Amino acid sequence: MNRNRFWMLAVLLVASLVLAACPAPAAPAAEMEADEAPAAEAMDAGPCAPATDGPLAGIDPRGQTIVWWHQHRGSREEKLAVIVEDFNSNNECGIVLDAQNQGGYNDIRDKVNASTASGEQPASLIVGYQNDQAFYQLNEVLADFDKFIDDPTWGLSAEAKADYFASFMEQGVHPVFDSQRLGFPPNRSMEVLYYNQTWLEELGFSGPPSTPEEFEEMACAAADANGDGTGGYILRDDASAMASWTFALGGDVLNDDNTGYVYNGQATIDAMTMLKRMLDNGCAYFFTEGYPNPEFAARRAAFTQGSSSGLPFYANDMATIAEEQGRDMDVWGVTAIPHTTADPVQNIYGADVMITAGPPEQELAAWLFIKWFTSPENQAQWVEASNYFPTRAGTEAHLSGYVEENPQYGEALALLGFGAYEPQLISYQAVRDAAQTAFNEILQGADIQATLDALTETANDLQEELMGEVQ
Amino acid sequence: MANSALAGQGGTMQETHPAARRAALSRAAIYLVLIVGAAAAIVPFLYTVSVSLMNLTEATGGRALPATPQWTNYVEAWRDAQFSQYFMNSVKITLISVGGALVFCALAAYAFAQMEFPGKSFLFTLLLSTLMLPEAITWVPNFITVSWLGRISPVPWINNWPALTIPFMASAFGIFLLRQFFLQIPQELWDSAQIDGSGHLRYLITVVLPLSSAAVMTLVLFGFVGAWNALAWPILVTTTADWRPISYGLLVFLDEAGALLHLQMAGAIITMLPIVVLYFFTQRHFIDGIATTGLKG
Repeated sequence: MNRNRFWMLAVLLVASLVLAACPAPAAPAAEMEADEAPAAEAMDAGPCAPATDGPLAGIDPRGQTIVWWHQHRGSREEKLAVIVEDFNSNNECGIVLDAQNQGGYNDIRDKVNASTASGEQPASLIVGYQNDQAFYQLNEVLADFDKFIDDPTWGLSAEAKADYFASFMEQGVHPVFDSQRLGFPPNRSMEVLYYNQTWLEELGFSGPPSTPEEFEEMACAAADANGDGTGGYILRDDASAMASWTFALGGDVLNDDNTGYVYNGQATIDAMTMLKRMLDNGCAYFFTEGYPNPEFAARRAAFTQGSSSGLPFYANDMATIAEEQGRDMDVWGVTAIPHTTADPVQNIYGADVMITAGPPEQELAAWLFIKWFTSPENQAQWVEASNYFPTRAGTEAHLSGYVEENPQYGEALALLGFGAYEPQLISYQAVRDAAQTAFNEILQGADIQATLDALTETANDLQEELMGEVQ
Repeated sequence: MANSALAGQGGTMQETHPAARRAALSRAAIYLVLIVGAAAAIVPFLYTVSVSLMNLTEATGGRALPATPQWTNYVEAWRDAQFSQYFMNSVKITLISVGGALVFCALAAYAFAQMEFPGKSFLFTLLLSTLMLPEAITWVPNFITVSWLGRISPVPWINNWPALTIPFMASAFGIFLLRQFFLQIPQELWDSAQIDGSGHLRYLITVVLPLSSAAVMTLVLFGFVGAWNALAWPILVTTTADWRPISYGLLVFLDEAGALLHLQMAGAIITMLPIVVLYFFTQRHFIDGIATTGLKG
């Protein structure tokens, strides 16, 4: 290194250290205002005065600043910011919510675990799946929602409670943690069957299938029409698909008391048998080179299965490919997973919000935001921003315009009352991987009964191992 | 005579042909392996470029080439990912990290290479053993450390440059890299420097570092790439966008419903450019550094 280069390096180093010495960015204005708010607004009476009786008596939520770690990004984050601003400007308690994107679910999990390990409280409100809740509660990180929901002053009325979809609310209840309600649903997505109505009609069918037999017949007819190995149903081989088919065929992957797994029930066996048969007969196929939606849009599949959150992507691809191919766009829709039960049983999933254990005033303020956020009017606003499903039936009355513009969303919305949910057990993240492996082994020819027996045993061993931590 | 000469010539040719053929075959095999290796390295990059110019349907449908290149994807990616802000953050984080790494790695490497002190071998082995730890394992202990330091320090660490840079200023790899190079510097130079009245620090700055430009540039490049691409740790130690790096911007194109692959790839190309430019300027030093420090396999 010659002398000039050395001095250039030295200057660069000094410059970087000078840059580093710049003061840290100032705290957000909202935070500062929130600190000043309590003094200005503190009152002993009024709409937000502390309760005088009940379990939350004397707790004053006024003027609290709460932080929400969430995973929403892009336009969804921008629209959420508008809703949050509405709350911050208009809530009578002077509560200030600071909604912060913290990456994805895994990033949030890492942050919560790191905060807990360092003895710090994570944000007052965090987002995560039901199995995350179980993990966090090993260290008693979370507050029980029931104390807020049932509170006579701050809780929900009987009418409001009944308005929440029961299956959504049940997901956050953990039998292995004294049935505490550790999560609350802000929104949901659903496993649905996407179908091409125009093509089905051309094949001689009047509409989408409602039973597995109809589904198989239609998929095989579409595959025959294409004759090149495509055309039928694009297989989805993960744990959510396995659970969805099990629910639709009248079974469950949880045992009766929701404390263990049952992957070898008759419904799961029947579902795997049907899907393997469809694969063998060329009525179903794997598409691994990309996402299934462009295949669906290009009539290389009459059916695909996936989350309802993919609706905008399907809509985009249907329009784009029809335009590229110089034809009218096919009519398409979403329907329930073909079922043997009298009514559909739909796999409905989604992350919950959780309140972390902390100062009671903050916990209560966090709850008041959730209560506001899940009110039908605000849910409707959030649904339009996010394309998620609401958690209260009453929201539908506020969505007529949106449903009219998005008919496929409306089709799925009508299925919300038929929800079932995947396990909320602590081991479910690992069990999901095991279920996907078993699903693939079956499709590659492994014995169905033996594979599902082994999966059940593995899943319960994983659960037992992790629950050993609780004891 | 002529016949025997021809026979002799023919015999020589017959003797040399198999060896020449073997050499040619061997060379062909080497080129084949190199071509396959080069293709394995370049194809993903070319595919990224191709997808970055597609529309969403083409990108998610697994196509190889765009029907019509969508150059506006780059503008859209830059705008949507707020790269202007994150780009500057990454520049600051990278400069501080690399600058700090040069200082601390050079000092530690010099001590391990040129100085004698009790427990030197043990400490060096201990240092090297930290290379075996997966990075993710260090996150929680490091987070606990920076949280604690933030509590006792006048400067906040979380949501600020110290947590993003200081943990990476003394990497075991950097110390090892420089030490290997410093070991090759002849002892006679240190003897001469001592005769001239030089101490260790002056000798390091005026003699050792200028002679080690290849290793230093290699460390700069590795440090730059590491700091520029970091994502998990910055997310862990920041809660706001004020100090988040450019790689965080790419997340905006990924959500539960799927990925805006075309924009994500355009963003990836944008974030990759500074590294490519740096490599272009330091390529010769980098190769020298790898070749002369025992890192080459």
